[in-house]
Amino acid sequence: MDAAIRYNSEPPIRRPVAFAAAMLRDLKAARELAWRLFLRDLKAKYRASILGYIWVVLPPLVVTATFMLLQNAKLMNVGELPAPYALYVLSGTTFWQLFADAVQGPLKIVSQSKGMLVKINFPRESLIMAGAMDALFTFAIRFILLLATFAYFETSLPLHSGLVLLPLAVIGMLVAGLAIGVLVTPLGTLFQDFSQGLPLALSLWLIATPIAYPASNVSGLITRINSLNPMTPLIEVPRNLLLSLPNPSYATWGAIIAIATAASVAAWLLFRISLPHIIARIGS
Amino acid sequence: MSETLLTVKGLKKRYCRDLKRSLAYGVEDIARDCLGAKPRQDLRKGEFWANDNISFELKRGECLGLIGGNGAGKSTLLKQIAGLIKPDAGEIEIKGRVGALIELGAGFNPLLTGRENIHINAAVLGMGKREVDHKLDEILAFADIGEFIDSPVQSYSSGMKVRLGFAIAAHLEPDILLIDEVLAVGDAAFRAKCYAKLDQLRQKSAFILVSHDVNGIGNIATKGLVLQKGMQAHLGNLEQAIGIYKQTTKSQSPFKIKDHPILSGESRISPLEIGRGNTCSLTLELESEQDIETTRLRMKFLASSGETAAEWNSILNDRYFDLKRGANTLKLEFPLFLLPGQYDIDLSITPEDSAKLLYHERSTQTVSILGNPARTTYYQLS
Repeated sequence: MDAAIRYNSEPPIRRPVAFAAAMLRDLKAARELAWRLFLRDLKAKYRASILGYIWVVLPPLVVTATFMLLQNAKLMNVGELPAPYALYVLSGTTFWQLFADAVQGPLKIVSQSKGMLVKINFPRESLIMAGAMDALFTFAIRFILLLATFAYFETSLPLHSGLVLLPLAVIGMLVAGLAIGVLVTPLGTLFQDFSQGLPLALSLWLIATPIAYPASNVSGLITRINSLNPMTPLIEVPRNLLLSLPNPSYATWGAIIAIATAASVAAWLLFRISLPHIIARIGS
Repeated sequence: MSETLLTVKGLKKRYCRDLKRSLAYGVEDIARDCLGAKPRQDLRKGEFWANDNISFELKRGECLGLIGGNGAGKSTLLKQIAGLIKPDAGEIEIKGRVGALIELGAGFNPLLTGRENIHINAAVLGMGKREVDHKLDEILAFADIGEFIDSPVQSYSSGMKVRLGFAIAAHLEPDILLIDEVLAVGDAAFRAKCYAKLDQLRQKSAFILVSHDVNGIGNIATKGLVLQKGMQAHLGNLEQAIGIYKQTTKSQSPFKIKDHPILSGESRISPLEIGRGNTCSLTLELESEQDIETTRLRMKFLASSGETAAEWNSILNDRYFDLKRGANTLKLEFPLFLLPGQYDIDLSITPEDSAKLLYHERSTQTVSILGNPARTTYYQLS
């Protein structure tokens, strides 16, 4: 027989060793379930739609088309570019969408699973992991679209040693997004303001990040914002790697990923501590 | 076989009725927990104890019948044992795997087929892939929903969803099984099958069974716990527990007709506890604003499953009533040949020339048919 399970009112962090052990145990138990939940959502996601998986590639295409239109109508002047504009924007948005999905994913999947959360005790980490798997899967499909665009412009993807950093850039982007997404999930589940506000905040943030324009070609307020925006290196590094452009600073980029990793662990702690309280408040 | 699987000691949990305030308190509780501060032991404004000092033990082979009216704290207690919510005071100690039938089929995806959902639901409940594959045939046979198993779950009737949900959950083989009102849906034959399965599971596990159907509990529970407004009113002997619960339900008020444009007044049913085959009477004291001739009256006795067990009906009994403007007294008497148990009453009044109901209400009052319920209600014929 296993050791007895105890539930009481004591704050879990008063027993840090037991708490950390439980976290790791649940993380392990969550993997298989996460995979099943991911497959479930993937199978069901587009089953009742006509366009099906085409929906996966539409968001980056629409964003790219919007910026191309703005630029074409001379509403926006992005200056000299080292690559075709469509390719430049699509590289940035493909990575940006991974971030946006990772930010919005946890709150979305936790809200969708409310019925399950208040009725069944299961490793809840599986929900976050399933959301992360979905974001990565979507990114993979969009990345194939990006490669096809490279082929279209006959700028074959130049192979160079810097590309080994690309997987780290993808993981770093995902972790940064998840850190924010998991951090807002407890309050977001209680208060609807967050699910309303997140898409708004993200569309503002998209403009504040050098995706539709190179940071070097703008001036004034936006330059200051770019330099303070932690997303700037997270977008620039992978895009410049793909387009074989020089990268400004790997050090800042690495530091941001390290901070994001620490933040995501903190977010995980908060998520675990707050869940029983959230379930008590959202009721049946 | 008599090891203690579950110990609950001085358990307390508080809730707040006001939503905004409840959410704010939730944020405060989360903050305290994050900072490692001891939880507060007092009630904040608008809060009440949903569970107040609950203590009991449960051994393997035992089944605790958890009895209480709506809002007595039954579900709150189960959710704490299931580890879904955190006690505010006291402690729960559990040995072994806990299975909770709090809602069958929670986590079903409506667009996926029943077969696809079996795998997911089982994984959510804690079964490994190999365990599910191993038990799949048994689960399919128990659910017995035929070709629907390969249709999307959104095309299922509520009864079919319960069949599938119960079939999965029953094959979990937990040490402690929590069952909350889930068997109210589903047809009588399937319910009988479920009770038979539970009886078989009980040899190896400990149960907590929540139901409004106290007679259904009587068939399977070995002891009773009565909750009243969050407090433990009785723990121990099951017959006594059922007796105490019935005492509390008896005091509920009869039908009151008010806020109605034409009718006002009340109805009384007596006696509220009668022997099988004895006469029951309904008295209606009605104040009417206008004359209504040949009014039809219908009174249904609903079993705990929601099915109509007996009905008195003006058309069937060829007896109509003329309501005069002013005070009216209508009296009906009829013998009730019903199985022992508790029945809700559904009353409706309709004017003869119209299909529109003049008045319709389902009572919170119940009529009990006395008698020994033991082992009479559920049989599995196979």
